[in-house]
Amino acid sequence: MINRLADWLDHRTGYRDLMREALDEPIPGGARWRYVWGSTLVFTFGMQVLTGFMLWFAYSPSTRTAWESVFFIQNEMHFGWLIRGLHHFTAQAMVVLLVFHLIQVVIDGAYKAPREVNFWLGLVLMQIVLGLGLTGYLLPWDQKGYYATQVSTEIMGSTPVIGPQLQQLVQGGPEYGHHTLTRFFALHAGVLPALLVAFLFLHIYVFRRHAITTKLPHRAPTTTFWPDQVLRDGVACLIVLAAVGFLAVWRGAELSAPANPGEPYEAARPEWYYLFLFRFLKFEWVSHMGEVTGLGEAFGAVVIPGALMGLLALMPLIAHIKGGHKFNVAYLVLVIFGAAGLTGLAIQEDWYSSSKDGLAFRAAVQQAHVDGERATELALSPSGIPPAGAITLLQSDPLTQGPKVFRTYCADCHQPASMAGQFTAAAQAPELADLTEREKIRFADRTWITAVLTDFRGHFGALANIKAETGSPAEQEARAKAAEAILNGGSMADWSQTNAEILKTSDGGANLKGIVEFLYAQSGKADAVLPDDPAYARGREIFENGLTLMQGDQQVTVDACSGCHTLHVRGEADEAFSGGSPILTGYGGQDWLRAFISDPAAHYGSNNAMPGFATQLTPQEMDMLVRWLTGDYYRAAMAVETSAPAAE
Amino acid sequence: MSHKPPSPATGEISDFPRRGFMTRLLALVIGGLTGLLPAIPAISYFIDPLTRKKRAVGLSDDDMDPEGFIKVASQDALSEDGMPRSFKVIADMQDFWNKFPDTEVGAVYLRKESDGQISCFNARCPHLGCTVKFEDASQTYVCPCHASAFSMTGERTNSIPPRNLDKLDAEVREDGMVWVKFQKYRAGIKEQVVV
Repeated sequence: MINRLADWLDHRTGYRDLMREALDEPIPGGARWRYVWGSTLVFTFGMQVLTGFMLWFAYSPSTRTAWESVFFIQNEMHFGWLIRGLHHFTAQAMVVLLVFHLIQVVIDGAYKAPREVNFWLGLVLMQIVLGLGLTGYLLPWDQKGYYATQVSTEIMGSTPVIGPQLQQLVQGGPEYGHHTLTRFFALHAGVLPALLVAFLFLHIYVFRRHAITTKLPHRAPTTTFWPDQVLRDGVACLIVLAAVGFLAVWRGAELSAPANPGEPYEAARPEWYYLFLFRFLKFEWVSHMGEVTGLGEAFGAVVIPGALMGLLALMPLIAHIKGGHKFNVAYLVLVIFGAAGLTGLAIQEDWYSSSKDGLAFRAAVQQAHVDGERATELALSPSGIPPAGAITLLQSDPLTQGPKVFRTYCADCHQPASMAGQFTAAAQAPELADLTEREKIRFADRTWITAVLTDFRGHFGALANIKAETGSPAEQEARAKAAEAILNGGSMADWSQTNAEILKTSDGGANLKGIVEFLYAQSGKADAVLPDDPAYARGREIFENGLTLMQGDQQVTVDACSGCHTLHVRGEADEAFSGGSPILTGYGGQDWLRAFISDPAAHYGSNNAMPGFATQLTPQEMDMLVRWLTGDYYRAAMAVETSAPAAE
Repeated sequence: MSHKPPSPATGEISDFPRRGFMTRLLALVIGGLTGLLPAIPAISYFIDPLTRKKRAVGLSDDDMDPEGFIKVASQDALSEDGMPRSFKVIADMQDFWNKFPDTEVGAVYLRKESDGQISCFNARCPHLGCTVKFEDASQTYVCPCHASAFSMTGERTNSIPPRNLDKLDAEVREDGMVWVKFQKYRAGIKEQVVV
């Protein structure tokens, strides 16, 4: 039955001849492992077609949907992360296999007459594969792809004469926009794969016409493609699959933060197989030669690689000259070693060197990971991605923006301990927060309040570094004077010194804990105790009336806080203490902090050594800073807590 | 493929038959495995719309009351003469990765019946999903696609549609607004099945 069906089909299509033609290709000298490269390339291309079509089903090319749709593939769709990971790593495997294929072809002399045309077809295929890598890198529209591709298109634009036109054609306009993505996508998923298929067809056709090049045709009996070579090819493909599968599971394809032209990306690097070119362009002499020749960046990025590639294309002709083949092999080895050396140099400088640039690069990569993960976390939050796109997620995220504002305006005085050595002058104020451990805010937490109460001079010790040198502006002089007064003449410093031991030791520390809890509760933070907590009540009592107790035979008193401080107790309608400044109403909370940063003197009166920031910070910056320092931002763990009861 | 007779071109090869068979089998298994493995995640990915647990597209819950009603129109906007009027349904829409606030998600016809009750139909034709239009002159709902027709009370008046217009629960609440339990039903079948 099957045979009759097969006969019927063969009669009408002649498929058996085709199969025979395909499978019974004779291989003189027997099947060999060194012939597998071409097949692995066909296999990896097949993988790219399969995974590429899958991604296409869910990808949306526009500046407001590209990152978003890739995010959805990566985080919401079944095996989306794996499909994307396979596509990502198979693309890189193709480049590696291409190089192996080229090496084997050159060493075996398979490029020589009459196979010149096929060699050139192969070189065209190589350019297409590199073009696919370049266009694919931009498509997720994340910071990494955006800035790496910027460099490529700027290089294109720096080409003499036709540069600007060429760049606009590729980008779809003078700058990146929706059409940059539609064009890159059309190239990546349409034009280039179609060209690749066409050239691959020609490549295989011409290859079959000339048959395989064998250096030792009598090394073993002649065999056929099926099954001896197919088995070797199959094993090689399986190894490639295992390798990319392993990488896709182990590392995965990263999705960095959504592309943002206003947000610098200091970890910008091209895909690793372009690193040699990247490093080459960093040589000063390359730029200098560009200037001298009037070719600009195109000298290093287009002319030199073009010349190297041109010489590669001339190989079949050079081989006619005596010793030409040896020259070709030596040349290829030299180019590959050169590229490998430059790649190694770039990797060494970025990842292993302890130079300033290396450290900065690694810090930037770290930051890029953090931003990318945060963007995903926010996109997964119940509020999701707004119609304006994922670019807004990080822009309005206090956890991301607060530390940046802090770094610009606050960190020089309030130096984070983890950044020791990165500042020119000494810290002038207590540490408030850390820029690497962003969730951990020291400012106004329980430890902070305890330190202010029991070790005031130590806690504010950095204020001693505020110095008025000769010729300082009046403002600096006033700050220095205030700092001196706070540390040495201030009544709070004395209160703290007098009462620290009493508070710490009396009643097992319960009095201290009381004041701390009472003050902490003024912020309205979620983890504060409620007014019916005994600690709160005790703290409130001490704040209002102070403390009198017996130590041995001696009666000691702790002066009431309300004697000096103004405080409108949170949650109490009319009860207010009006002792004076610093004002503690809502201490550590958002309103208090906002008002305080804007104009510290209004809160601290003359006891203030901090400049006001009302005019320096934009409302948005102030909002981000204050919300970060008070912990008011989205946390993934929070969503789990609140959604759990709803699910029941 | 494995039972293909040996090709005459390979006559000079003095292969042991057993080894030849093992090679063929191995080549087939390994080749097949390599080809099929990537297809597994690809298929699972492709049928994601069928296997997904969390709904990726549709009305988002925030706008609805616990019974699934959405505010559609003021009761004053309904025609006093008992004729149906078309209203857009505006709600938050989850569209895969985006949540679009207050966007148009469908249309309904609202009518004040003689006893003061409100009747409500989804404007989506139960035949194949076009939007029906109410024609004042003939007092019927007509579908512009395949001429499905329905009476003012929603009964089909020809046999093109498989069922009557989809009636939706509607009620006037204290705020003077008409609230509708907006649902879409599958087209083309006799039964009412929520999409």
